[in-house]
Amino acid sequence: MRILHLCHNHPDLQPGGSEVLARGLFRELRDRHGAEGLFLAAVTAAHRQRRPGTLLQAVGGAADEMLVWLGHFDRFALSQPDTYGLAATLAPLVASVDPDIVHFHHLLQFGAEAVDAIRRAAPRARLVFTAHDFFPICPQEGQLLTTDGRLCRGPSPDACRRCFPGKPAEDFVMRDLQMRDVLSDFDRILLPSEFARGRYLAAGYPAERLALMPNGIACDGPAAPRRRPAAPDGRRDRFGFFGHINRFKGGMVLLEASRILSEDGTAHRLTLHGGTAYQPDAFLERFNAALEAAPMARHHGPYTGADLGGLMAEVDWVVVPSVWWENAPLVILEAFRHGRPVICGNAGGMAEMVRDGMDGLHAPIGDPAGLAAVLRRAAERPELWDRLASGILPPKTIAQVAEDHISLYQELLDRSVPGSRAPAEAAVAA
Amino acid sequence: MVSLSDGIVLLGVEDPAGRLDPARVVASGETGPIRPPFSWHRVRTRGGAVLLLIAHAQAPLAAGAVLRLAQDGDGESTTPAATASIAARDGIAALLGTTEPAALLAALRFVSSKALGTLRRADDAGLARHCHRLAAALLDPARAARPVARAGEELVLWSLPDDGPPARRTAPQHTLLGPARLHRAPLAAGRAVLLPARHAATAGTILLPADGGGPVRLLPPPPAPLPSLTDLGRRTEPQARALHADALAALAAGDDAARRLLRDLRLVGGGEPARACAAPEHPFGGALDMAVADGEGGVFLRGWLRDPLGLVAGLTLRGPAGGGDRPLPLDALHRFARPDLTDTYADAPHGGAGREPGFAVHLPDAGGPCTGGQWSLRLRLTTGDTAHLVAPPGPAQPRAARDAVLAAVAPKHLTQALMRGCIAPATGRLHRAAMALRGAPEEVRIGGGGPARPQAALVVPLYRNLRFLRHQYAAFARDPSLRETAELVYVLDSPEQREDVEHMLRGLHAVCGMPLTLVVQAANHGYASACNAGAAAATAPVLALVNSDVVPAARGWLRPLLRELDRLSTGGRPAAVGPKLLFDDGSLQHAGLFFEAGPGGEWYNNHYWKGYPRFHPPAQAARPVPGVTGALLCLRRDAFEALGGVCTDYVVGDYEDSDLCLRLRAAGGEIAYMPEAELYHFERQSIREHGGYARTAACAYNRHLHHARWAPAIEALMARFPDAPSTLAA
Repeated sequence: MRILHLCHNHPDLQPGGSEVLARGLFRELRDRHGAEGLFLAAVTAAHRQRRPGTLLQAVGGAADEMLVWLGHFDRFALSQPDTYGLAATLAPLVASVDPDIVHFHHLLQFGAEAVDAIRRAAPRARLVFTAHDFFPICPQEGQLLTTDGRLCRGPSPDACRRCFPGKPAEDFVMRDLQMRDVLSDFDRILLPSEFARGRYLAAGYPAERLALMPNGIACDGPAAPRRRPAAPDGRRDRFGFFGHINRFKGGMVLLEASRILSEDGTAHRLTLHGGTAYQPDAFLERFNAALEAAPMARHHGPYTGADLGGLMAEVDWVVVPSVWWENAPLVILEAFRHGRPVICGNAGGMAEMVRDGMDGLHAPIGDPAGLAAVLRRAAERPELWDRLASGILPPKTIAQVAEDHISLYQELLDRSVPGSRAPAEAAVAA
Repeated sequence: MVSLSDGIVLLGVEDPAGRLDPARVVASGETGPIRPPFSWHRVRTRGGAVLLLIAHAQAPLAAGAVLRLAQDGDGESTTPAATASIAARDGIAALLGTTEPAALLAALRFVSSKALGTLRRADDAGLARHCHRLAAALLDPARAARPVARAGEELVLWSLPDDGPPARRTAPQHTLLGPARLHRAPLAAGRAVLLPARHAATAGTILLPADGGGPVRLLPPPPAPLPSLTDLGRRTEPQARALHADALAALAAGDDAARRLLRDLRLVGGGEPARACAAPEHPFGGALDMAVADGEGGVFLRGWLRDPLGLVAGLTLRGPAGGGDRPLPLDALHRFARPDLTDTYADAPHGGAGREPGFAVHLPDAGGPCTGGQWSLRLRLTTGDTAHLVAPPGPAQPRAARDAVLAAVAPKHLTQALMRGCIAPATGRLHRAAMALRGAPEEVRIGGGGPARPQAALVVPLYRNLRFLRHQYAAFARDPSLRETAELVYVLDSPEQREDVEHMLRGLHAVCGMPLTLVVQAANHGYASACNAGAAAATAPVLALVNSDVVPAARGWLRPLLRELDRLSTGGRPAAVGPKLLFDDGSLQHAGLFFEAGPGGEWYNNHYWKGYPRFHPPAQAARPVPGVTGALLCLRRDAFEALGGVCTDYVVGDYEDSDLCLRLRAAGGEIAYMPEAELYHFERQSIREHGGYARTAACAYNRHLHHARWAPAIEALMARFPDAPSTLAA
């Protein structure tokens, strides 16, 4: 089976969850299932210079991983204006890969135009899209989080207009029509959570093409000791945060909760692991002030996947205080792999992965005092930790995810009559 | 008889008693009547009269032949009057047998005018030599035409001596006698004669003025360069000014090249400063702030008058081509409000501007097809004094002139009387002139392949707004049902965007691969011309006229339209079909077009259930409707062509769609709405960009035109659709 996976970033340059999962899946398919092809990641001036005379460049030493330089992207319209570049570079590359399956992990950088070009270059390939977030249905960075920081119950055109007050109404219609049009040529849209599937269903995407495909993680390193001894006083009061420091991941909410706990004399320790790359100065100022105000919190900066087991061994709980819905954060799977119960927001994709009172605790999203109350309870009741830790089920592995994909691919290929791709003409009702 | 050249003879018949009438005399030789063309003329001499006959050389007129002369008597048989034997003479003077200058001059005029006219022998060297010799003999050495100015690249202005009789201001027929050929001098007025400079190079060219006076020498231009006509116009001496005015009048009466030169001179020369009478302390005031020639001999005027004390007794108008002043009755003016003036003169000591100080008028016949130039208005006062108002020069191009007329009166002050009486007639003429200047469009093929026999052509006019082009093209290209059946024609009506549009379409084609034709209009000719040019470039039997701001709600939208069109077209009946169109908020924008009587009793276009929910039950049914919008209109090409395409009489783009529907119905056609096809229409996205439309009377003009053409038909049609809702208060 020949496969082409496309990802909006390369994990070696930007190790976000989607990127890590996408490349991990590609390698798993290659190494265990004999799939051949290309992992093609977009790259922009943020990480690489464009080379003269080509959009393509190599990354690492892998022969089947490449970068395509795609700047000037229109993030609102999800449109790549460099049609000439796509036609001259991407189309012949795709034709030479000759994939049976084209799997998009994101439309960022590529845009609707890349799909158009690839569909022409690989007319018989089955198309699969994994919606790692809500970009196709939400122009506000695909987060369903309003510009003033509230969870969006949409998508709805009127809600979108409130997020972009100056934007002409027809721009939203155009974006929406184009996404439906482009995605209607995909044989499957994979969603890593029921929550996400529900959002796409609510937006009117056809149920028969929306499939649940939970995420998995690589389990090649040693797991942290499951039964880490409690502190001498018996408390389970060490909290860890693993993730990027930005306003969406909720580091600020967590620091404020820590400050509240310190103020009322609840002993605990909070360690934040994660980089602050690309954050605006104003945010960093607020972050440092919040850190200053929370005496029991420390920031340890970036980490790599290889560090994760060791770092998790040092905490009792993993906190996921994201202020948006999240989709299927890999850090929850990592926490479970290392036997750490998870405290996370009580809605969206994260709440779906953590069973409140069974393998973790839910806290109100974006509410420092509410989170502080949950943290206090967790810190002061060691028996709760024991119960939740023992309720943790082993997370899905990337190997299992790859098997799910291979059977999906096979199913799609078995259905297809060679040379006659059934046009997905059943239009998506707008 | 004088043999003027190898081919032309001049005969003289003495007729001292004046028995022969040159209008009735009939000459024949021994072998029969003389062969035309020929011409008779009587020249009086002191000794009596000689009848001259000029004709092609032929046997009956050869020396020695005998000529029989008869008089054609009112239907009776001709009676022989005389016979004469022809003898050769060696010059015109000898033939006349006199040296009287008046007789010789008369003979010269006759010979030269017939050579240029009936005989068509302007280039007959022998004839020219005879004429030139005679003229040279008649020359008064003191009288000569002086070269005074250059006019354009090729012409020189000569001034005729001012001692002769007053020359006519319009089209005097001067003749130029060169040593080897004759010419007319068509560009002349008053004392001005404009001739190609090369005539000066032909030594000894003599000008024979049209009105009396003897021949004059053309003095060659001096070695130093002559001043330009524009320089002449800036001089202040009355003679120079009069000559300048004569020269402009000569150009105004000339051919296209002369009028073009006149326009250029006026543009470059800057003309006279506009003059108004605007001081608030003045007891009266006024201005002629717009005077636009309408391209068909009329003029549109706009200005204002403030006359609180009744001092203005009358008006006279003077045009740029001269021709004298014409009275302009005060009650011929259409008056309208000018709040700006009312404010300005609110505190004027002798009184304000009144309620309607503005005036506009269209004079359909104001003398000559002159382009550009300045008009002026004289106010005759009760005291016998006059005040002089000069308009600024009008726009040189018909389209700019049309737009100026449409912007002359603020839409809110526009009454039907103003529209009917002056805006519409001037606009109609100028629009016609603008349309007549249309250049041929250019066709660019982008990509190959596509259906060999497309069922339908999507024809999409583009004007400035390209916001939806990327989306629209990609949506068409992704729709397999379109790719298999339709050809795509974009028509760019704003050719200044040609490079951008072609680049964008080629790039989109590179990723999407749907071939298309890009038709580039030579200039912005409006929606109707664009549709017609697109239709001409298409080959499919069905046309779908699609606006550039229309984007499909889903794939597969064309099929139901074609199906319905097929159903309606059975038996060759003309038909049109339109889809459901949606606003950006998903509410109905179009579910069929109907007409409703609006303010002033004019018919307005409206759409069924505008703003209602997308699935409003009555809008879910396919049904006959009075018309459909041109935003997306499907019809068969043969029907389109039989109707002559989209009517180009409307300005910019509005009402052509209902006009097309009404013509289709007048031809026995049927029109239907088909809701299975759903598209979004981001209405008025492109017409909003058109400065000439948004803030002017163009919309009202189109409505007026539409109403004038169709009111009775609409009334009869709407009687058949009693269910049409109305949103306008009648």
